[in-house]
Amino acid sequence: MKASRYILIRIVMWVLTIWMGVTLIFIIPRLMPADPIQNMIAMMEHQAGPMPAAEREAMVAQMQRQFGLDESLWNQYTSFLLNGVLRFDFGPSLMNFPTPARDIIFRNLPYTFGLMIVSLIVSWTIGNIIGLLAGFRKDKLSSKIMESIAIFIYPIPIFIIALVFQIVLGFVLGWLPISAVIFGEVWSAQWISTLIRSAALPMLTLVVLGLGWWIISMKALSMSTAQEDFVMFARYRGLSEGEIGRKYVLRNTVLPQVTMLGLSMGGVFGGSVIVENVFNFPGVGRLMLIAVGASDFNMIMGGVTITIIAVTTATLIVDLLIPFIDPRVRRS
Amino acid sequence: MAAIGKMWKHSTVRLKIGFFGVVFFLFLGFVVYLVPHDDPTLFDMWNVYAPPSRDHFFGTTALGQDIFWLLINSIRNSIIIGVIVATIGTTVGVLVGLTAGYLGGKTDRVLSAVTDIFLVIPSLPVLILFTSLVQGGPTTLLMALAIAIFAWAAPARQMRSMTLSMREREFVHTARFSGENAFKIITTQILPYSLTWTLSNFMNAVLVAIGMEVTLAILGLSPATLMSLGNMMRVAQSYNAALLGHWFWIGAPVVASVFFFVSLFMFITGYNDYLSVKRGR
Amino acid sequence: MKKRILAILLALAMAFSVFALTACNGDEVIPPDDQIEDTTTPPPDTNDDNGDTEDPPPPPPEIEVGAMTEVGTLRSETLIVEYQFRPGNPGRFNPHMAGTSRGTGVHQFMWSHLYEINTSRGEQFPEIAADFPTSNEDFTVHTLPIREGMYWSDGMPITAHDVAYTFNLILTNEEHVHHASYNALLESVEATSDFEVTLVTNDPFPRIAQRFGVVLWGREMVIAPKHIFEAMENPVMDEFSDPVTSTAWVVHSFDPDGAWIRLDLREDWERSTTAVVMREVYGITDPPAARHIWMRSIGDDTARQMALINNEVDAMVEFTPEMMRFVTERNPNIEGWYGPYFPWGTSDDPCSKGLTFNAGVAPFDNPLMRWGLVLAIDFDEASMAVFEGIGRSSPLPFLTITGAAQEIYLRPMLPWLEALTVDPGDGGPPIPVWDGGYADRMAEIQRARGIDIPNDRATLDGMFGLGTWRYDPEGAMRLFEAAGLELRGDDWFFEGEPFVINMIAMADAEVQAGRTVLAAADQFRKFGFNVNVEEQISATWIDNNELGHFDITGSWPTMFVTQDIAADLQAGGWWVYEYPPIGESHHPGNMMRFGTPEIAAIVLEKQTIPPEDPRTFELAMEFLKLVTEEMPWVGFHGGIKFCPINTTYWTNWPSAENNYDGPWWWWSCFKYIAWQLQPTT
Repeated sequence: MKASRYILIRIVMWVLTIWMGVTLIFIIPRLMPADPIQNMIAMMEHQAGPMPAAEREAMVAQMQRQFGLDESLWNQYTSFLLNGVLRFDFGPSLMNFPTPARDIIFRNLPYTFGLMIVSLIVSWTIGNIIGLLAGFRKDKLSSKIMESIAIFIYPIPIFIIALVFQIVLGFVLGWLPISAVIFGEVWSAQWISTLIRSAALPMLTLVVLGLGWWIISMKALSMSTAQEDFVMFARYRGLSEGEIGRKYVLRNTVLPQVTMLGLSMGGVFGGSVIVENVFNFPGVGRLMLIAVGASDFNMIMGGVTITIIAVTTATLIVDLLIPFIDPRVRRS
Repeated sequence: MAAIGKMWKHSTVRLKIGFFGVVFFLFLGFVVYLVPHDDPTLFDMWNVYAPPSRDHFFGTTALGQDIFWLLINSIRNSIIIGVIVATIGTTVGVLVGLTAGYLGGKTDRVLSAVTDIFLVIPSLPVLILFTSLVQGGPTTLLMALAIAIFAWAAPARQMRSMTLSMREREFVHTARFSGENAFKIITTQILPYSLTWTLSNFMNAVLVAIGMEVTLAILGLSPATLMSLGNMMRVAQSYNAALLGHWFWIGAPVVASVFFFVSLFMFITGYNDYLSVKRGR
Repeated sequence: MKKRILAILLALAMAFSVFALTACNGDEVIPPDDQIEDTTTPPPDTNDDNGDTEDPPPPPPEIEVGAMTEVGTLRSETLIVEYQFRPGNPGRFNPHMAGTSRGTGVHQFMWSHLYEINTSRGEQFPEIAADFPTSNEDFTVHTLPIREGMYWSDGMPITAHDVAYTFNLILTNEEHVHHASYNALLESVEATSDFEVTLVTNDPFPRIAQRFGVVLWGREMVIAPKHIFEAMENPVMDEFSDPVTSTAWVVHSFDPDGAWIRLDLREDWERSTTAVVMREVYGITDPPAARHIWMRSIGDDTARQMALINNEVDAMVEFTPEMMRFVTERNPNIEGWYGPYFPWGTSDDPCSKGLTFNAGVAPFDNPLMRWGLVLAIDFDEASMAVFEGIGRSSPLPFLTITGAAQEIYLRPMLPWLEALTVDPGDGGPPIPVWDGGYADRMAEIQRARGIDIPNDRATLDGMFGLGTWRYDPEGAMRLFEAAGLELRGDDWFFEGEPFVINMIAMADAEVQAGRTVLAAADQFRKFGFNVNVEEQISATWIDNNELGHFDITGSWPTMFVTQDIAADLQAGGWWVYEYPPIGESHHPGNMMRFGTPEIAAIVLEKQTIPPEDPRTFELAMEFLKLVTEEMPWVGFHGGIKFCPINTTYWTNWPSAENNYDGPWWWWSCFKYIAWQLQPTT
């Protein structure tokens, strides 16, 4: 198919995916009769002591006005789509009233994305290289060892990996900080160096987790490709193993792996939530868990929406790279 | 019988190991479970942190609970959740995939679009939202349903591509030309063949579902009174088990999940290899 | 060939790292389990005075002289304290803007209030006010003297004009969160001179200091600088990020993400409210040794423990006893309320934890049923399940069992309690309910675990309380049957239907409350009941509490803020005795949906009596006896807080031995504790 058509379809899918995700997010809380304002007031009382009745009622009325919860369902939906999705306006965060939830989410989002993207690139690259070699040379002992190790690492619950790194590298050996401590003006030298030190362990955890999967999938892929006729034919023609690896096996396996890369964003995000929690890394995943604990309705909605949009967009970007890699798409 | 024997002969080492692993865990969760034992959730404050003994194979927790029986119950519950989710997900997915692949055209485009949407949407944020809002706390069934919302997409996609390729096969063409209606063709020709692949999808869905359950449990979003592998880890950590060196308590669910996942994974990939060999690829 | 070598090297590296990770999981770090021989006791406490431990305690960590903190201060001059939680709006320091996070270094070190609290004395003391207010005969006009000689950090004096301005800001600005409630209470506030403020209340109100001063954690009534707020466009919406403070400290810098904040001692510290109060109330004129305060967020529980052990933090909030055990074993300088020894935590936190019965649902509306459940609990075992037996027993409904409350109310009630019985009305003898032997039994239990518990009565009373409710399964059985329950075989039935007790608890936060519910559920199950326990996320749990969707919940409608408990009763809704049906919010009223006309009369009468009048104490006693007979809420323990401190850099922390205040690092009164800490260097 034409590249332009491919791109168009991808973009349409992107819009539809976001729309569907956002609608899901809108519907779910409204299926459950938990009143966010009552909860917030209860939270305030929990922290600052109980309020006499008159005060309480006054506060409830004040907040209902401010949160616009007195409109019809359809109005709420359309305003959610318009404000939430297009303008990222989710209203004020309940725990940091009246700062808009959006501001806090966007402050934290770059940290999560930095973590995800860097660890994804590292684990994808290293994992694919190892997998390629393992698959290509499937009968060697080294290949079997690598695959076995990958199989064992892959199913370890990520929070265990995080905990082990935290205890061993952070506490026992003291090489890296136990929890994230980032200082200095953004983009200053101190900020960059503390950021790198703080992100090292979370990144390491995510890389180890992802590595397993990429090794396994790439190995399977390269193994089956290596058995294809054209590879054998290339061997008969006298091409060296290295050339075969580069020109034939690699080129054919990269494409599905890139597709997988796009699809794996959601999974990596899941890992990031846990890792941010363990290492106190100031990302969006940690923020959402805190919001859940504080029943900060707007923040939860905002965080989930923005995450879905961000991950979907990242997938889109990866998908848009495919025409550049896959000649079949380019040639129409 | 002969068919099974033949299958055994052709299967790889990996498939065999995986198969035995899965069967072992099923055995633990459903057969060993039947051995009469005391309710492992009851506290016994006069016997806390006990080391392994004849009465308590893996010792006891901070609340005097028997770790071995907690583990057996957790394995069972985690498998049940996985199976519920996988059943729902695979059934729905197979139906959607079959329909999309067989009917083609607009139906296919719409269904494929929906499938792809659910593949891309990251499930964890939505699940966090869902579990954080469930009135009265998430029950096991509710949590399984929530996870199942995302579990049907992968099987659907797989089923669709299978159906597409099958549609062009000889015997289907013959059936169509000889006038059989679509429904009959699907059920008598395509379905039986693709069921073999469905097993693989099912196991994969189980794997993903249990993984998601463990994640949610660790984040504190699983019904806390459900004994599951994830919750066992969470409770142990809330009593500082790792730092205090209570290896059996924190180690049992971790090791069990690792081995279970590895077995499932080997079974799935081994089975896929077996099927592709059978297909003559 | 090269590829092969590369592949093998990679494989070896991976294998090695996997083995390294699993193998070196710190045999050096975590004490092995092989110290246990006896299966019935946990590992002996390595802080046992007898010294019969197998691992010698690690040597005290060395202090690096001249070490600097990451925020650029000398470690020896810096007090590092953990945040209670991370502020959502870092840089928002305006006390009159909604959403300002207070316990994150803000109300501790930037703001001052009219009155402050000292929990160990159980009394307020005047902070910005010079003394308690004097009122006219019917308590409608109140005169507040203001201290002299206090200055804002920008040099301007703090006067009655600031106080009046702050009150009027709330009274006139509609966007202020407390606008409605202040107008309901106050008619007018005026500065009648530079150091005198006159308040006129709409109704007789004898408790001005309690309402507008700190009695617990903090207060909304924070005095704002008139000269600065007047100039703001809308004082309720200004972040005030570069704040002028009334205390001895100023903000040096803070993390825009909210991870930390650094405060430094003002140059003109003697002119701050804190210094003036230290001089007038505590008699201390020296400056604080902690010139810098660094408050920060640490991370998850594992990180927090490790940070404390590494001497990176001096004081932390909210540990569990399992965490205390770990950190006190690894670092001999780490202590809890009772030093580095069991029970590590104070029982003086203002909210006792226990079980709330739903008096709006049968059969829990029957006091016989409630008493039955109380007697069905083996408190010794339940207490072990909560915090290993740590905690002062807090048996009475409503009353938080701080040290002061125990002496003022519980001790004089002992004869009455010992004679108290519950009569199931089945013709048999009435059932006595009090058990005064809990403290001694619990001390024995702990000694059997290898922990050294002193023998003197005063310590035992303080540590474990004066008594609890009896464990009487036969008595409980009689009460259940009198309440209409039937036992058919092994199952309980009520009104023909299988009987299930539905219990709910808040998940994650408030560990003590959650564990209390689980321990109680365990007891009820052992008794033979079918119990359904749900741990719910706060939003849901709070909602269910309000709507009455529970049989038993783990909420804590307990208080002891003011000695005569008048304000507490009012705030707790104890004057309500008619409730809406289940499914509708109970406001006003209390979670138990409980009340009687007699109790209401007592609560209302107390509102009209000043706190010094002995009649109000008599009424309080009457109230306590009435609710104890009805038992709508049963207490397990006082509010237990484990707030470990590290004496590597700072000493003279409040503790059981050095009880000059409580371990309240997140309360506004922390400024007075921080002032008194002594450096080790």
